[in-house]
Amino acid sequence: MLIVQNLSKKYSKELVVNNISFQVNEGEIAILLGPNGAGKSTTIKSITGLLKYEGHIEICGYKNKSIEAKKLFSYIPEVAAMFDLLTVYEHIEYMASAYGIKEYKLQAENLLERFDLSDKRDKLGKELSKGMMQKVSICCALITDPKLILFDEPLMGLDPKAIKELKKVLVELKEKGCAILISTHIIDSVDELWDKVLIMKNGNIVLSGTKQELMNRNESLEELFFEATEDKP
Amino acid sequence: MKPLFYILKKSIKNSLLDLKRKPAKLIAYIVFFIIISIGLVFNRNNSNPHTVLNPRLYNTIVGLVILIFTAPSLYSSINNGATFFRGADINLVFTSPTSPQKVLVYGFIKQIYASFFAVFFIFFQGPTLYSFSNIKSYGITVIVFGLFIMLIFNSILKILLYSIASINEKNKSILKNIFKIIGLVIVIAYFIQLYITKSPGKAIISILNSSVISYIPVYGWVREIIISSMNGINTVFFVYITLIVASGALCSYLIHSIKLDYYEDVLASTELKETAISATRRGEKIYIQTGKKPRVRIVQYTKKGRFASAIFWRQILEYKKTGFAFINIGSILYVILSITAGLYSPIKNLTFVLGGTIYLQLIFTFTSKWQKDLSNPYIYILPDHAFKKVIYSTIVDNIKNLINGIIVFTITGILFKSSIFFILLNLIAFVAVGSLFIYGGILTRRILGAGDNIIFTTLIRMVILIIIIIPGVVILASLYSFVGIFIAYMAFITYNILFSSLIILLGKGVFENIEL
Repeated sequence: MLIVQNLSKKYSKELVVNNISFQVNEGEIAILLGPNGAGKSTTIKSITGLLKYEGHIEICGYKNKSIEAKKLFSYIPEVAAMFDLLTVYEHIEYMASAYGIKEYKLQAENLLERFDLSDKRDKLGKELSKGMMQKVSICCALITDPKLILFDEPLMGLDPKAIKELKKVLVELKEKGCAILISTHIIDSVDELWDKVLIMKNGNIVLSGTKQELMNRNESLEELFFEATEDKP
Repeated sequence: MKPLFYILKKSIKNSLLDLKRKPAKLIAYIVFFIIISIGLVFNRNNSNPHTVLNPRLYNTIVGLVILIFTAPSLYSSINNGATFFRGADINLVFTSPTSPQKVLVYGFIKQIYASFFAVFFIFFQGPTLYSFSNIKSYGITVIVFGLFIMLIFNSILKILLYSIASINEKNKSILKNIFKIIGLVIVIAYFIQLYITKSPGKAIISILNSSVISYIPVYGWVREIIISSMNGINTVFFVYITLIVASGALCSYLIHSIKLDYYEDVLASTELKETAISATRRGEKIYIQTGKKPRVRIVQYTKKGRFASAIFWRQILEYKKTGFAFINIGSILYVILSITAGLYSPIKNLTFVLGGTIYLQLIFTFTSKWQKDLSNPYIYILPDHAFKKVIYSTIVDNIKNLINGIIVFTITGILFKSSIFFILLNLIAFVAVGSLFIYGGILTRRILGAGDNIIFTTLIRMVILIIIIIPGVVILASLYSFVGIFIAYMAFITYNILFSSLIILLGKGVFENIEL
């Protein structure tokens, strides 16, 4: 579903992502863990095609920057950005139009309901709080019925109910066969969700494996994380 | 004070190092300085016969500039306050163990730096000013200096006004009423002069040449300082400077004596400033209303388009919400200017109106709709061709230009009694220039990026747009006299369209990557 091969990214002369490769399959939730500055967000932004990079990225058999690939994935950025003059519902309608989706109304209502936005559907983008923007951003991503979802710190700013709902949504998407890549540095937030973990440090993947492979080591995700990312004396 | 100077020193050093990392930006800045220097040097040594600038007209222009730059911002400071600071200062400087007095000095130094860049635009007017023989050789320096100290004083006064207003509601309403009374006095004076002179223009000139103005504290003195660019520097010039500095010091003292805790006063305005800065970077309007629910019309989002065309229909929806179709505040401004030009312009020729509106378009192009889309990741990941995205995200701006053009040239054309053919020709030329500015803006965005230093990026962008339009204007001007109006206009329009098309091809990548 998502294939990343030899991905490297430099900002000026600084190598931020160093020749990393990984794959996220259908119905799999992969988490990209790492300390601040490890290169997680850069990796996600490269996959979405927002950044220039070296390497090969494929989404459902298409190059990530192709129009075909763009139709198949959704992205939820770390900092949600809204159109000031569009209402919550119009944001969803706009995304549906931009992705050429005609039958969206039922799904839109469902999403608004799930994320407690029904009574805020007529609020303008510029009237929303950060948390509400994040919820709208999630609804905008989900309305396109993606085959791959890229989350950059998805739980930031969300209230407990929205976090619970989002986790439920992630499990449902997984069951539907959607590939999910979540970048985060808060281990607890994704502890019970993941199928595959990719731990990054200084632009490299220092540890990767499936839940089964890593759990055979009888260590918690937190222990694995610190083992992989802390400098050895 | 040492840690505060450290911030200033490092900020300057890092901005210079940043230029080293981005050579394209450095080259653009160098080109900009060369253009200004050449303009000033050549015009100063120009031996061509000079015209004389009417002192009464000069007094009026200076008076209007001071009024426009001060009155609205002082009035709004009663509600919103003012600030020398940025968000990082509040988080990291205000909370540090540094005395508020030292922090205020640090703020002043920052403000001096910001004010200097704000008046830098005046240097653009240098060549025009030096074409008048009665402007002194040091004229432009005097003007920049006068406006510079006025802006610094403005900032101090704005904090003082806010401090007084924030004590209680009564103070706020007293201050507002003082402003209203001053405004009313000016309006009454205008109508008295209008009755005497029977001409709106002469009435304004008469008011702004009143001998009373030079006695008005600070702003009257600033005008006298600026007028020294024509009358020459004498002892009174230095007296005025001393008086302004003393007034600034007095206001600063009052700020401290009224309320030692000025931190709270600048919190809200700093937040506002940060919002305004990020809005400017996105190319959005920078006047932001606080504490009020945004006023938008309720409209139906009926036509939505598909893929890239969805951008176009979304922009239409945004326009409908803020105005009547494409008629908004900008259109009203064009209507007022067109009626004024149509009634009072000494030269009744649409080509001069076209020239004036090109200047306006250059300024308005900084609020184009397409720029707002760049701050949002949706446009980059939208599944359609980059070329289509450029076209669909700029159609609305082109239509807006067409509407504005119809407003301007219909009104002035009728008032000038021009032929329909000539009105149409000017309208097409206006729209073609608008396109050139829109796509030129995309190209400069591709070259410069969003820019960390807004003022500098804006200046460079303006210079690039001027460079792009100059060949077209030269073609129009040279063919106009020698070959004929029709051919001159057709050549001008063709240049704009061809160059716009070329720029679309060069700049289309702007919607491909967030990173340029």
